[in-house]
Amino acid sequence: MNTMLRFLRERLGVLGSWASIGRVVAWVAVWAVVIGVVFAPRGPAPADRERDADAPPSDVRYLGPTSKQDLAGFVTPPERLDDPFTVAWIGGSEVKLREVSVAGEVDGRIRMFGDRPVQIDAYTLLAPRPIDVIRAVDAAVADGVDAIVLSINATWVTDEWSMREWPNLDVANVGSLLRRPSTWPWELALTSPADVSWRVTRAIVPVVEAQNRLNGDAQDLVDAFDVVSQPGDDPAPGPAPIDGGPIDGIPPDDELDPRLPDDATSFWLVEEYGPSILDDTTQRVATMVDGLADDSPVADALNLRLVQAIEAAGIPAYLYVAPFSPEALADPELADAARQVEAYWTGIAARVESPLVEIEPGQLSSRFAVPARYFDLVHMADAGPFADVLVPVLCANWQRADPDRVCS
Amino acid sequence: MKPYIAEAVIGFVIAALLLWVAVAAVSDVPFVYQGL
Repeated sequence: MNTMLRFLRERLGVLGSWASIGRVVAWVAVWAVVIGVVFAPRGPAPADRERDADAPPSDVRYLGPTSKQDLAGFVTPPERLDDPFTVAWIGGSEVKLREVSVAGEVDGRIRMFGDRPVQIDAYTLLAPRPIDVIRAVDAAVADGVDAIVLSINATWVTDEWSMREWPNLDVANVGSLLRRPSTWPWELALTSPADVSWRVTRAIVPVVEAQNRLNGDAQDLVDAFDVVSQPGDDPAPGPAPIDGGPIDGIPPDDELDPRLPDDATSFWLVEEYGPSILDDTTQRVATMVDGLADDSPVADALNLRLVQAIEAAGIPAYLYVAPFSPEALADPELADAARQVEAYWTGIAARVESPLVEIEPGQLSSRFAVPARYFDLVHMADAGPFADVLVPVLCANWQRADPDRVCS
Repeated sequence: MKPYIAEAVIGFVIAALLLWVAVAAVSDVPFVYQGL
């Protein structure tokens, strides 16, 4: 080291003064930006990620996450020139899982609002926490949407840490939490100094931001050489609805990912408690009920912040608790947990001041004209009956801001 | 002139190394299944 420093100072005449050190530091910053810009690929687009097409087909644009690993951002949708009425549909896998899409079913039922074509943009990611949804609301509002539909996850009554620990999400929360002084304490609680540093680094150096997005592609390449994760020539059978019957209009899922069990909610239980949790149904139900019933001040604060962010947007918004399957509600313990979730969100709804914002805390599955079939607790095998319920309430919600327009 | 060029080259090398570390660090993201 000393030899190198001596060479630099005596032979090259650099780093011998504070001025020289300062110029080197300045060059480091300049080169970092230049290298970052030169090597960064283009920005993400909605079509970058492979998704199962909606069945039936829809024109919904799915805007996030941008890759399998980087859930930090939503893709800005391309601008339409025909002045669409843009609806942001925010939620988790209960909105879109594989080819089943609640937003897609509604899209097929509402083509126009007045003289404006309806464009549904889905800001969905898997099992979002309240802070992730606040971020989605921020992104949707920044994109200039005309209305918001939000699927409330029943587990949001519990605290932020018990649901999921995916620290790679937290870099994105820095901006959302800094917007209001009321959430500054959560900024300190939910994000680490490293999250802030990565947020800044990614904002300044495009190649770092791009690498984050390209991790998904890299993972796919690595997976191709991993014999353990390959489904093989005879993949596991596709998921079956609870009643065991065939799914009308939905092709069998021949490419079921073996990393996700048939029951998508049990994936999280297996992650947390191990495969043995699936052996005992009573324990499994009790675990989920416990998760739904454990309300927390953290959840209160963030859910209120979420509603405040939606109210501040000044656009129509309809929030509904993702409806449980009728089979699940037949279980007394789960039905009781659903009532507690309803009571919790009824309390939140009572604090809403904006006439444009509606919260439906009850189980909308009770309004289905025909019983919907579910894969599990919240994932529908056929979202049609749910869409039939949602269409009139959404149109009524939008008319609160514009009574002269009607859906068609 | 020579010291100024050397400073720019040193800055380039340090910047490239820092970016390498940064990119390698963000590449090490835990596996998360996304079935959406």
